Amino acid sequence: MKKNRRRSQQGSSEPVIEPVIAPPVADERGRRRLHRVEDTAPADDPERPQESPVVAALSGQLPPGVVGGTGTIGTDAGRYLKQAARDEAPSRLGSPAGDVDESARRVWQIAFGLMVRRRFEPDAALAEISRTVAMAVHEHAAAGLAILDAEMLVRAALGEAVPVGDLDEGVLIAVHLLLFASLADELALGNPELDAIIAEAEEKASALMAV
Amino acid sequence: MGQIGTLDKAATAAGRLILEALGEERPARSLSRLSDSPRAVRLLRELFTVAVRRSFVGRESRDVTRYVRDLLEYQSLPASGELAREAEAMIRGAIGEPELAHGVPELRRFELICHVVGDLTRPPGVPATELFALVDQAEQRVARFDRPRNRVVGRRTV
Repeated sequence: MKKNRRRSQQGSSEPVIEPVIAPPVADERGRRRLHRVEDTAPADDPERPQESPVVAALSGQLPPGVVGGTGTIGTDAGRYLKQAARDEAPSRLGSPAGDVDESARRVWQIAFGLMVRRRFEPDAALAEISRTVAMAVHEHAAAGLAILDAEMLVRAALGEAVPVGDLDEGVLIAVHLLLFASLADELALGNPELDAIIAEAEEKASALMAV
Repeated sequence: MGQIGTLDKAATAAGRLILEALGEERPARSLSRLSDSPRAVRLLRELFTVAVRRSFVGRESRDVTRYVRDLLEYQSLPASGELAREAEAMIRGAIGEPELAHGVPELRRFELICHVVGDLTRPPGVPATELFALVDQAEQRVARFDRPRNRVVGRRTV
């Protein structure tokens, strides 16, 4: 069956469907909400317990004087990512409990992209991607990831134009960490290979942050 | 404007309502006005399944992504965010990945069904005989799933 378009309608600003349906409010959607980094308590909030110093204010910035390219993990964010990949991270819901700075998010995003491109060819069959993503989401069921959100981020990392523009930060972090972990497991990467990918991500993130 | 001489082709009143809506200038909007008719809504869901399967089964899955982007852009709706993901989830849910559509809210499902059915089955792009066949098949699906032995507890996915 072919699609049909009546071009005579183009240019009309009138919506096709009357707004009988209010846009869903996030809390009404019935999906389990992911723990959001910005939802964590401020450090000076007396009503909330203080976060562990181990997971607070994770940064992806290399320490002063440390240069990338050595294949060694050099940032807190990188170490956290490795813990997540080895299923040793303090949080099993995707996002760490404490604050995360922009550089840490950048490291995880880049590492996720490197891992995705290591696992899949750019023109990989969607069925293959879907299978891997579904397995990863089920493996981390406690995080409540939406399969399609995760799949879209994998496809975006492979260079495909997909609708990911409005995914919130909590979803991005959870997918970047948990899918990275699942893909590392699927590829059966050893410690040196895992370290090399994370170190490469740190190096690239550092270069981007310096711009 | 309804389709003259076509309304008797549907076996049920709900089918005739849908055929009439599809003959209007803006079928998606006309279909959305059937929301207060449970039988029409029920039939519309099956029509969505039938139309989507006829259009997308056997095609490359990325065609769904491209189709959704094209449809939403044509309707002047946001094509790069949640609505697009939900539309893709609904369509792929109907062709073999039902778990993708589990998180889509009920009202949004209906809205997207109206858009997709209005686009995939609208005359005159789809020949009249094919349109009647689609509605007939949807009516058969409703009859089949509504038999007591086939009723399931809880909501069936679209």
